[in-house]
Amino acid sequence: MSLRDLLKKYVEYIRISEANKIARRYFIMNSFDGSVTILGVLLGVIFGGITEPTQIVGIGIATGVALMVSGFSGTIIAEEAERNKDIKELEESMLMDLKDTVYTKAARFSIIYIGFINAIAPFLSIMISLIPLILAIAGLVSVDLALPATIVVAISYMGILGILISKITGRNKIREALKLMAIGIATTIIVSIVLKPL
Amino acid sequence: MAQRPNGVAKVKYVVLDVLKPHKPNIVDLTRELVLRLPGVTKISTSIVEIDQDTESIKMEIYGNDVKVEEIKRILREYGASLHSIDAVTIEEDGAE
Repeated sequence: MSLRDLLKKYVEYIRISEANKIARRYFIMNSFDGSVTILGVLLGVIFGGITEPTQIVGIGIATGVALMVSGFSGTIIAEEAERNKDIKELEESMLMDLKDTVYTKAARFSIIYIGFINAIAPFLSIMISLIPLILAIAGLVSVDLALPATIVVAISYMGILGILISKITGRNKIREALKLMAIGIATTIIVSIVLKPL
Repeated sequence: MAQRPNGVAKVKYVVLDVLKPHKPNIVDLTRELVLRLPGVTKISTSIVEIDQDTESIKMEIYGNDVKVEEIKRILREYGASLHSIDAVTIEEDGAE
């Protein structure tokens, strides 16, 4: 089977299983999780007195990888249970075994596909937020500028997620972006209040 | 019963009662059958009944040489089951 045929098959599986609807929801949710998590990590390291960009990027990547593993494995467990339940119910309605049908193959593929999206989403938002610090490591920006810039990028990425949500819901772009950015700002304030006495 | 020599009977038209899940939809399923069956030239599919998990459909299949067993196999692949053959037209080709 050629690569083109394989891709065509996977597109068909995604269509049959309606995986894109679920994947879209998980992408936004987990990207948001990644952004809020990295905000917490960044504020934690700043208040903890760590200013070395290599160390902070290392902590960020470790957090991202942990969220990737959690996202992927959690999805596999949850989605497998749901899909198996759906197949069993359909088999009862159809009075036939659906093993080896395109329906079961699509269900199995969708579990991996959604797991992959769930894994990549938080890691992507964390890596995007760390760009200023990566530039500082490369000597392109100063560390004093990179640290606050990282927080700004994380909050701005939440705004981009808000715009993505507005495309799905049809609601006002700016309002949705500001809503999510407000959550980012609130997180920054709350974490700062909690950490300041320490 | 007398038999004409060299006559080959071929299915030209058949009506099938099929039960299938909602996905794939009738457009995708019908397209797949037309593309994968060389003896089939046209298929008309309509929905007869829908319930929560499944739908009953009627497929009118036209062609030069419709292979019902092959249709059954492809339907099975797509999680559909052939409930009954409701009508058939068979013509003889190449009889002397």
